[in-house]
Amino acid sequence: MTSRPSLKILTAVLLAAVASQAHADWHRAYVIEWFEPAFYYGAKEGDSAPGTDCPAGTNPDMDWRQVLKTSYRTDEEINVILDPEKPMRGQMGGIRGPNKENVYEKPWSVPDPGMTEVSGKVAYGFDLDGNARTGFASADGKETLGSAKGIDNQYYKAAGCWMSWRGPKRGSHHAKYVMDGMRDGAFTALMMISGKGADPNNDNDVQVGFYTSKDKMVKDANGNIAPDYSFRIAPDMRYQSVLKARVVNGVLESSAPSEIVMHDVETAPFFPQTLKLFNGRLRFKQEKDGKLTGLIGGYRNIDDYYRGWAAAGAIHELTTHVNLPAYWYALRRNADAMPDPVTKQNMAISTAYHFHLVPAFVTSPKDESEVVVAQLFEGPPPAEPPSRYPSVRGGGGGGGAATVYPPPPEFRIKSSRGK
Amino acid sequence: MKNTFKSRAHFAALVMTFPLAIASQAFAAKPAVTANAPATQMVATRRLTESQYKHTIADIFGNDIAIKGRFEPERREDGLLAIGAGMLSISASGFEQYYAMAKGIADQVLDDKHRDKFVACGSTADEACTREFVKKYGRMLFRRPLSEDEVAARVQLAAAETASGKPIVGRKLALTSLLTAPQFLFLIESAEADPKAKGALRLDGYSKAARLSYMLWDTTPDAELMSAAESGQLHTDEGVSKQVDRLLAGSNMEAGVRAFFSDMLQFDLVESVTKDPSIYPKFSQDVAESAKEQTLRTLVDHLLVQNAPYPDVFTTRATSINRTLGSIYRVPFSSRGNWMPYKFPDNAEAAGVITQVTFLSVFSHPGRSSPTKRGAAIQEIFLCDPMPLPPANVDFSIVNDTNNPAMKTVRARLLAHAEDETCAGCHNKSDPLGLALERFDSLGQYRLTENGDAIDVSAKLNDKSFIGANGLGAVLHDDPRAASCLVRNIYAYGVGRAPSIADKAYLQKTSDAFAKDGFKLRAALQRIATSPEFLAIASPATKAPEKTALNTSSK
Repeated sequence: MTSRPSLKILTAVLLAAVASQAHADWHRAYVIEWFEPAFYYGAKEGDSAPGTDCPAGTNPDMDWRQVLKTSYRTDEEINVILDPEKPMRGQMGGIRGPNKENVYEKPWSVPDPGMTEVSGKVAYGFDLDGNARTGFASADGKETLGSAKGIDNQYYKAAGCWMSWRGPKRGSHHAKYVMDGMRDGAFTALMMISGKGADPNNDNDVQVGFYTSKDKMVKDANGNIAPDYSFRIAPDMRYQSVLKARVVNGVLESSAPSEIVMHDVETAPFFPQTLKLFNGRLRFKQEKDGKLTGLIGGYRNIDDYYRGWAAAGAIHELTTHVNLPAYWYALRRNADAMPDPVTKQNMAISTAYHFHLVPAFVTSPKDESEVVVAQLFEGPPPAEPPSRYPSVRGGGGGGGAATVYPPPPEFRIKSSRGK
Repeated sequence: MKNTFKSRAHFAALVMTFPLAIASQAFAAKPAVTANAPATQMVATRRLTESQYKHTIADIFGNDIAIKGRFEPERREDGLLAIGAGMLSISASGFEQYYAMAKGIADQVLDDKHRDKFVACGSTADEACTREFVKKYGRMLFRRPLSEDEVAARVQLAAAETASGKPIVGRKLALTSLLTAPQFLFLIESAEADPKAKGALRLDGYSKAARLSYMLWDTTPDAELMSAAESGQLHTDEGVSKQVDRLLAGSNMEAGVRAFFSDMLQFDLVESVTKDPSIYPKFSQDVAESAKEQTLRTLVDHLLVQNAPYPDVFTTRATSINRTLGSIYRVPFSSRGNWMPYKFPDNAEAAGVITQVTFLSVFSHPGRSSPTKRGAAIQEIFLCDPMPLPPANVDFSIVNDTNNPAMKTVRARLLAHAEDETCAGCHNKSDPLGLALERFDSLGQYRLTENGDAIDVSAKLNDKSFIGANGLGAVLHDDPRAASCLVRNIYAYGVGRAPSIADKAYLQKTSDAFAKDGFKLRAALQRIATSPEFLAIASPATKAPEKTALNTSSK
């Protein structure tokens, strides 16, 4: 006969367990004031000039007259679509598959138009596959935040010569566009660090949490994000994750590959709002002014990298100077993880992001207290689905489950006349 | 265009009547009670402060009546705007502003949304109704009943428009006239013969009511106080005590206390505070306004809600913060509301109002802190010991050279500057107080170093050594001059003039009682407001106050 522990003992054990979960000897909190894909910029200036990253310069603009030329479209119809007085590329730009497919949704319906890829030898990021002999060399030199060699950042290889993303740190057009949106209130992303050791500069038992908040960042008199503001965590699991880490000589680094879930850089609602990285890792160092800079890397589903761009395809092709089917092919060509069991096509691509954070305070969504331990805060499911656009799928050239939007009425009429 | 001309004509008519109205004030009030005594006479005037104006309009017509316009600059004398108000007139451009505000208020009060609340007859042409409207709201605005002539003049103004089929326009004009009258824009105190002392004068009941109401509530007397004035109750100790107790218990006390401390702590300077954005990028108008609100909340909570001793305002760690101030103090703001109570930890340098952002930022330079400004402000505001202006030929080059590698801290530069004997006298009085606050930069943010050098916050004043803000707070807490200064300021604020030598004994007696009462603000207000000295006729100031260092020194 075994003796049953008394209620008092059970209560004491439970309380001790809860207390240990809620205990931290030190904590730091930050608001993310800037993050962007970690793309090494090899030119001296400008977004299209040749550089060590892209010796031929950026990916060339599309020849719209050429891409719109199909068997079912006359030159006259192309002229109508491209008429600057009545631009119709927004509606018609994607209808260029051999059978009138919308190529944004069925990019496999056209041959790979080709995309200028990075041919440089250096990049930012981590050696995600543990093979130092593959991948890029470090672009950071001695001050590297990521790995010194064997850097896996195939997303940089695929998209690093894309004009919209090309530029020095904090300097590319698209990074400035999306980060301006974030800093103006589109979303607020937080990072929290808590440790159980005595020395915040050397602690092997550290947790790092990512969150969002409904509280907006505040800009200072110079337009920078002001530090030391408080943010209440929004208990939204779409943007939360907690991972194990350690601090070594003041540098924070993940202690083991983990899944990282946080808000994506994109602000438009048709982009996936979640940035989910598999096999993720991070490394941050504290600056003298208390700010934090760092790098996060991992593998991301290539579909997540594509479908937001496809959702407003013609607009994106026009404004960001890219051929989206070419981008789709580039993603698949460079994907380096998570092979599909049937097609063997890799469905994830190695990537990395640069981060800049300023000190902040993080408060609990449950009560009026400061959060001192990085932990998950589960809340009600989001009120609205993250995106109203369907996911784009599909293997090699075989089509998939994507929704095909019907072409606009004008197109059908003109198209039938042209036949 | 037609309306413009009409408005200009109205404006011109009001301008013409303005000086006449002032001149006729001595004869306009209610006749004196004693038949053989001289008629009531004007013995003092004070221009309504911006705060008093706004509270008065809100209490008479409601909080939703917007006041759109710019107020004439106020003038601080002997440490208080309330004293300066007794020396102010209204300029021509200032009158234009008052006219614009009055017209805006009249337009709102008599618009479709509000009219029925204020005019029984609505939009009908009814002269008796207009007369009642003028009498009722004129009494509230003038803080006394209107004479028949005063009523008739407004009714006549309205009649012209009424005759042309626009009774609402006429009443708007009548109300605009009331709102631009000196009897509204100035607190005019009238004296009457004192039946208890032959040949002597006393403040009439309405003047006493206004003095009580504006000191305690910062607004016009309410109906009960007006009734007490009308019935003569305010000429009896019991009547005054009853009303003072009622006012002290009223919800408007918070507004009164806020107005008093806004004046005493010179919060009018908050609007003009600027900081160099390259050094203090966090500063904004939101920070300034939040800081002002923080100090007022601290004082109201401490002195009114907690009824805690006044000297503790120099040592308390309890305050309120909002999200903006949380960023300046670098502490978490965790409330779901806009403000939350906050208590600085025991090991923090926190010494009540003197370590709050308002005081620290107002009395600093845009690009650096100023121990001299802060020290002088403490001397003047909290100890009623004004500092003289610096000589015109002072060489500030050492103090202003923030890039001197040999003198990285303000302390080092000030000590070098104070070696000049002509400067030392004043600096020895102000600087120790300010140097103790040097761990707070120009914005009020805590720091331990300046240009890489550790900041020394030790100080010595009158052979008394202390360290840092907490040490300074303790010194002020125990300095009897701080409590006496508060008593002096309450009295001067209430009567609208600087105390004279004749008030010395009264102020000493009241200060002693303040100490015996445990330095409780409510008790002090009750004691002062019910004292015969407070409700006595104000004797005019005998000399212009001297210019002092505050706001003029560049050190």
